[in-house]
Amino acid sequence: MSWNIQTPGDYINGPLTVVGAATFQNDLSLTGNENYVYLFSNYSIGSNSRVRFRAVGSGGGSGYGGDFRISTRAPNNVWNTDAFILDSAANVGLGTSPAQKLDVVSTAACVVRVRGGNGANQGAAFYVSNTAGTNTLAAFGDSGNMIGGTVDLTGMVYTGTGIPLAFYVNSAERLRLNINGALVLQGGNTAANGIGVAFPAAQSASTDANTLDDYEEGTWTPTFTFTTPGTLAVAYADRVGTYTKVGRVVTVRFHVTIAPGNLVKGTANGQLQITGLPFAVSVAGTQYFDLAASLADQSSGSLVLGYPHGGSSLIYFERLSVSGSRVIRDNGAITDANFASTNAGFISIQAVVTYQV
Amino acid sequence: MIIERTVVSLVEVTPNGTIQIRLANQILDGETVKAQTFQRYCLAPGSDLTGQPDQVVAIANAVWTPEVIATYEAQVAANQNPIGA
Repeated sequence: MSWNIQTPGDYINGPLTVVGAATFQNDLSLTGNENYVYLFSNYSIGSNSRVRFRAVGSGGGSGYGGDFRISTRAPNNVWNTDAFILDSAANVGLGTSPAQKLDVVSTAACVVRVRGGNGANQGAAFYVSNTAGTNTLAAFGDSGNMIGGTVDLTGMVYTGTGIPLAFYVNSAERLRLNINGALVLQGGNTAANGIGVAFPAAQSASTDANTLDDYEEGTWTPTFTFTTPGTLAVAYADRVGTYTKVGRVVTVRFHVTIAPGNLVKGTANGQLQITGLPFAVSVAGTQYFDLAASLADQSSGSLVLGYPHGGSSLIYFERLSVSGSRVIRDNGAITDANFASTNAGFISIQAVVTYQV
Repeated sequence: MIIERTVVSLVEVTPNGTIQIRLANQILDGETVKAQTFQRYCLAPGSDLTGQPDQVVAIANAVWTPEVIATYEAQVAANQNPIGA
């Protein structure tokens, strides 16, 4: 050891210069008024590379609180002051005084890169969990067998047991993969079971022609009636209706059966109707759709045509006739006049109808 | 405790004043809906509101003005029997 006592102020020639390797067998204390400890190297590129570190008081009741801060020196000789900060709360900041456990800030591009090896069980991963190791979210760049699988994957986002994966866009949840594997759109049932797409409970209509904005399944109750029901009395042997709505298209299936003696017309008059459709029919133009129907025990014959009524929630029926080898519309509505006062046989209407809303 | 209930889950009004009602038949475990199915029906302007849920009655009374009902009835008449007699 040589002592070289000079005037302070130069990085190299301080009051104490140690030439060669030195060993301190116990604690080494460096004390100053938040002054730096400089490290110099003339090895490798450049001949005068420098970094420095210091302890900075962080206040607190004891007066012992302190940050550990490292500054690096850019090639243009400008210091990156406090480029690394390990603060008194054990938070780490890169380019900033940390407000979180790890806080990375740059006024230029800021990229955090995680790279692993190229072999099995060497893939890069980013894990987030609680201290118990549960409630995990992880992103893997490679290697499914890192989590106990047997097949390497190109990339993977992983959550632990019971943890769904939600996507927030524009500060709100827009999409979720729930724990059952269902894809839940914003406003959909987050507990939806099965594997599928859960649409919002209430349609969020889109004007974009290529956007599917609704799906719903359910039941409805078909009602056999006439334009003016009057004292009509109907008892049903069978009465079932279901619907499926996809976008603006609704498909309904229904079945109505009335046993002999259970249709008493009374003062009913007007066109035959099946009412109770689950969605109102579009008023945009006449709604003509194929209707597979079987309507028995009425005087117009067994062939009928039905059409969902534009703007309403009901189905009307028309007569069809056989003319030679052709089936034709004979432009006549099926009305109360086509039914007996009390039906002597079974009346059955069953149909599948698709219409636009 | 498992309970079963039916609630009004959606009420929609179409441009011509038709009210579309969706009922949800739910099975609950406490406050958690474990399963539900939907049932729907529509009420045309001027329909009898006897027995309808309160919120449906309130909406109908607000929406079904005499003008709305008259316009709807005219529309129904215009679209009736479009095949032509």
